[in-house]
Amino acid sequence: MSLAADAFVSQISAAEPWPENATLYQPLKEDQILLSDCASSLAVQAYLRMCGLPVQVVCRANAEYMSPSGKIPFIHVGNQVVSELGPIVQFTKAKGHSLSDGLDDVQRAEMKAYMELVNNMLLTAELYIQWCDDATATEISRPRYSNPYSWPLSNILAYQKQWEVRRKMNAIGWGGKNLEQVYEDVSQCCQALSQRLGTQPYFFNKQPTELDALVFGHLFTILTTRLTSAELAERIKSNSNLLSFCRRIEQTYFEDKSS
Amino acid sequence: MHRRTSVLRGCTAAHLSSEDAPPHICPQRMHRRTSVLRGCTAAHLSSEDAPPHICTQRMHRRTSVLRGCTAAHLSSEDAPPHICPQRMHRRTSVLRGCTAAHLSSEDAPPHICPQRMHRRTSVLRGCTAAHLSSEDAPPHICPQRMHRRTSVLRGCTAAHLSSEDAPPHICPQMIHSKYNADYDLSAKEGADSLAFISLLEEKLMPALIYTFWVEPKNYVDVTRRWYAEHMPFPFNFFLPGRMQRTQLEKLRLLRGDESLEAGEELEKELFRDATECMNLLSQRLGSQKFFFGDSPSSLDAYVFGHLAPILKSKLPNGKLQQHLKSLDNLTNFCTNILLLYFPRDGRESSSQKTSSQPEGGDFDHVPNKRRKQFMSVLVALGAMLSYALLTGMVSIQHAHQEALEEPPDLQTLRAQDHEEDEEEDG
Repeated sequence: MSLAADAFVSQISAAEPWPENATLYQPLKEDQILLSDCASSLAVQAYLRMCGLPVQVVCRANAEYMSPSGKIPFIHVGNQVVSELGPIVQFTKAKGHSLSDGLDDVQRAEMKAYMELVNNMLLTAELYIQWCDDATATEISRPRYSNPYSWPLSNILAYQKQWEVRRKMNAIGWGGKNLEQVYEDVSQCCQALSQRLGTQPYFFNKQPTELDALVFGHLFTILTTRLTSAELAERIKSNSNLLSFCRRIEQTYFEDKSS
Repeated sequence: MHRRTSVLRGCTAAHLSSEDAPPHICPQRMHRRTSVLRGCTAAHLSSEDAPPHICTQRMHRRTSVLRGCTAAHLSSEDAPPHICPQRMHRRTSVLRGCTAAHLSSEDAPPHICPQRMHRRTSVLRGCTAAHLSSEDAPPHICPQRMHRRTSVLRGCTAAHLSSEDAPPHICPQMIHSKYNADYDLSAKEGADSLAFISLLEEKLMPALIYTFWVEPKNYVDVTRRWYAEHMPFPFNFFLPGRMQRTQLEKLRLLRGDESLEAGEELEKELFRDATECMNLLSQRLGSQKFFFGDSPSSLDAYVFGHLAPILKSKLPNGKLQQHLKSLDNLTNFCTNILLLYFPRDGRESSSQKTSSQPEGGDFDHVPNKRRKQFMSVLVALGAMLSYALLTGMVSIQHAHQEALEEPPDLQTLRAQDHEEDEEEDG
């Protein structure tokens, strides 16, 4: 994470080619993973597939504690461990794989800005709905999050996580929001993305970038995950070009390879 | 309207039922009745029985006598509302001080005459100039917006107002109602500004918090002094520290690191993000005057609000400032906005600086120094007193008491001596 370590990583890794046995770690897909983690994980997978870098997905119950930054997902490449999309993008760039090379300065600035928009609004909204909406927290988040652990520990860990997320929400000023306001923020974000996408196949011209991977990861996960209320997915569905965008990426990068 | 007015005057049920009758059906009856109910004289009544259309003026004059109100109010009241809405409005000013329920009923068809409505509401609520000016915005552009706004303003707390004045992302309703500086941005530009605001929040905000609150030198030399100097006496000792703890806590939560402390590594990470963010902004701005061409938008305000403090404050640790100064277009952008929109402040601050700088920092310190001297003297006195109380004072008091007690003893002794002497003499 630190600057010195980053420089070191990029120097070392630049020399080595992408290995065949690269692995991506995430929590248990069936029983444990939560919406926000699943979205981040899918974004990284989409990004790596767009780069044409093979990666094997491994599910571990303690993935969160294995990650160097405590965040999901992280990849294990050679002797390097890198977590989260931003550092992973830099890491692959050091290895000579980049999706945003064809962009000019303004476009790159806009791409970064939109990526922060997704992190700032969609990801935060996902976390809010998971942990701050009581119905979702009781029915889905806490049981799923603590699924691999036995009784006393499961409760402790789940409540600890919820407490942590709620404090973060208070710190960034989302603590006072109600669910309706959060949905409103999500629609606003989706409208912005939809406006930006317009009729193009990808956000910047005809080539996918990391922004496309990130947006796909979040939207696709929200669309395909069953929550206590379908409101979140409904907000996305009102933008038809985003739906077709998700379908397009899914078909191009996920279907033909799995079949 | 009729029902309401009757309620306001505390009339009986009889009034209500008769008043509820459509005014245009039988104005005559109505008038007669009201006069009867108010205990008016026969003369009044007779004049009332005259067909209203013949002598409405008289009627009004009379009723005015009866009710002790001014002619203007009454004439407007008795007129059928649909005929003369203008008068209606004037009347409502009489009703000033009615409950919210009444007011809402007053918000009768806005599409008929929003302008007048606004004038009225402003009168009714005695709002400040700020409210009025915002309300005077062209109503034909978006009457709905106006309504939402007026309803918000109605008896609103400071919180409402402040939230409205806050940047648009805080109050999404404002973006939807297009009540912002981005009125003539295209949808795509609006999306862009949302994205760049997110970028600022995610990348620049943590560095800003760090620079002003966490970095020890900056905090002690600048931020704490700013706040301490402008707070009344007892608060300036603990409030800045408390604010710093909240900000540090916020930074910890933002970074997701519980044990985060000020230091080289953290500074590097945060400043790397911040410089990247500034570079991106600089690239996006290019050679334009504002982010979206020649007219300012909320994004410009937002960027300016975050960059100007870095550019203008004199911090001991000025790495961000150095970097910002190396980006010419962003620096120009900030100074340009300062010149355009803060011409008075800029002149004042510059004149202040020129006037205060020759006299040196001592001049600034004097009030604070005096207070500190005063405080230290007080503390020293207190310490001395308590020490004295604990050790010496007790004995002094004792000695004093003895001293007080002694003289009478002596006197009595002496008196006794005298007596004895006298006895001896005698």
